[in-house]
Amino acid sequence: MRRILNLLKKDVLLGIKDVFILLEIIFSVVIVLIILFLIPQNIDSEETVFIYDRSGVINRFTDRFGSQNIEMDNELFVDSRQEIIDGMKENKTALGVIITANDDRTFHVELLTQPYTSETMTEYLEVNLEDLFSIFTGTYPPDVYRSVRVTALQENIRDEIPFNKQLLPAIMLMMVGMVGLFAMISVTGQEHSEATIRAFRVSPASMTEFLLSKHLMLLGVSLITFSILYIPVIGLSGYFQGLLIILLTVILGSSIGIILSAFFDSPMSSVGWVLILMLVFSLPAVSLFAPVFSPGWLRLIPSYHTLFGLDAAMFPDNNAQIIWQSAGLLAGIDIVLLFFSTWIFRLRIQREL
Amino acid sequence: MIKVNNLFYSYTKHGDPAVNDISFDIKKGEIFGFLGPSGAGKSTTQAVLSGLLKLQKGSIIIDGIPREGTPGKAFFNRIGVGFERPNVYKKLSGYDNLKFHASLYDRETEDPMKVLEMVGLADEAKKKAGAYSKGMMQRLGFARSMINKPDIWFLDEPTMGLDPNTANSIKGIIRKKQKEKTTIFLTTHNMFVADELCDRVGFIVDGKIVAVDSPKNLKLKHGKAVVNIEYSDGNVLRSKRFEMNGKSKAEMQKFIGEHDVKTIHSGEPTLEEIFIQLTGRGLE
Repeated sequence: MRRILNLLKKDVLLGIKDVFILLEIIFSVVIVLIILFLIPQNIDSEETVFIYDRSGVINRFTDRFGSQNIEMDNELFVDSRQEIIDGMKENKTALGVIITANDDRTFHVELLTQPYTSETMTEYLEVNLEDLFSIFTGTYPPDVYRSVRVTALQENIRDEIPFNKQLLPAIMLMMVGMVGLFAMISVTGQEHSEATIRAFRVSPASMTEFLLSKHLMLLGVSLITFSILYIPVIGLSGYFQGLLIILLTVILGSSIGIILSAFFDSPMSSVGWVLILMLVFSLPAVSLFAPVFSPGWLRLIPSYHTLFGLDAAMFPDNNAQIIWQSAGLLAGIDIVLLFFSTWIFRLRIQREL
Repeated sequence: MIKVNNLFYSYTKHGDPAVNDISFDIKKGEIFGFLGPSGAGKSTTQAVLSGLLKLQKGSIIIDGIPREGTPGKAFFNRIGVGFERPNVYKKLSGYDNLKFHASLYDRETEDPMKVLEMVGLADEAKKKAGAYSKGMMQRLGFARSMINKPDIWFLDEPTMGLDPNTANSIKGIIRKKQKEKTTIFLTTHNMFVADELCDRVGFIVDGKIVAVDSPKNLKLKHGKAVVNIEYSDGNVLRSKRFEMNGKSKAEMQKFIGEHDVKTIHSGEPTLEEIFIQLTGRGLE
């Protein structure tokens, strides 16, 4: 125990002097500020369109057929070009349309876009406008739209949770959970590159103690960064459940980090594997944001359980069993990985001079 | 104290072994030098003896107890290992490095400050090891290896890269530890260090031991005493070397009578010359 504490003290001291711990804390503070103050609580994915209809065609159409035949949830009618410009300045995702009637009973449509509006979006709007004018001019019946209306399943189910908070499980996974992977490769890589691991190997301390101390240091850092991210955004509701899930994920990540560092001498030489793993571990986030997409194979990725466990802890909705299921699964994987990573690291290191 | 029989170690399954069937013994309180060129098998032998590498074939008996498998805590508590390359945490101070290593042992350890004083780093104790010069880091690594007051001390090229003054103080520490009955296994390719420090030396080439004896005996057995004469040849100072045997002795006496001799020096062969003579190889 005394030896582990001394090892831990050394690892924490190195973590502080390497600025790793400080950077982790600073990043967490920055991320939490971004979540709270920069990412909006509600995001409407459909852009607002300001319409200045100088021709009066839309009014004439709605007077004749009724407004229910044309859905205009995000359109705002204004009375001047300047109002469009002012509106677009205020709403950075808004667009503008000015409709003018020509003498030959055709229409001139001017589309006002933001400087960063994509070409694809512009083309999409052009097609929509063409479509709209074919309705106004009676080239095809407006009823056709009612017959193809689709209602997505589970739509609006998460609407009551602010958008910025919905992002937190995915951010936690990458910012806290996966830090174990990077950091473990980095700290063991440093012991390799400074050859301090050789000096350690001829001391009475064991390799298990060596690795355990690093696990503990990373768990400590994760506890701090998790708290910085969680408490200001969510509060204390589900804090301990969320912490359990994240710490189990950190152990998983750092165990994989140990396996990689057993095969690669430096963090740079294992960077390809790290990127592949990060990509794989981030895939389940798709399922979290679009629950319709949840194939069986996605559940085989451990981070799936981290994401859904964290989500359940943060946003309780009679779903406590998800937390415990996720924790149980992650704990099971951790036990196997802890033993395997220690064994493989010891085996590989014994062959090194 | 240490008895090694038929030690064998190979890094690959079918390649040439790094250490091939070597046997030797080291007495308690002795400084035993292992000499050979780079890649001869010195460091591998040291790594197997110190427990860094697993024993593949052969036997190692320490204090009458044969080693089985990987050595345990009791063994690591008793040994100190100084590596050729300094193994220090560059972000920690010299003092913190030693304090940390001392905390790993279950026996009484040296005071880190005292050890730093011994190696001339007391004034730099609080400085980050990363800011040390190469020689200072080497000394810190050396200090680390003796922090646990080892009974058996393995040293790999302990004076390499050090200036003559520092090298002398390191040699002084090694001699002091020998007087305190520490058994020292020293690997080097520096014959002067070996000649100066070692009670006995073993010559190793291509993983095999060629000779084991004291430096003096090796020189007596395999070397030839010589006399160097400097003489004046017109305005030029020249030198000639004579071996101290019967025929050559007579030639030398005749030469002295016929030439304007300026200096006469007797000389003994160096350990390096003996090494080259016995192995047919240089030490670099």
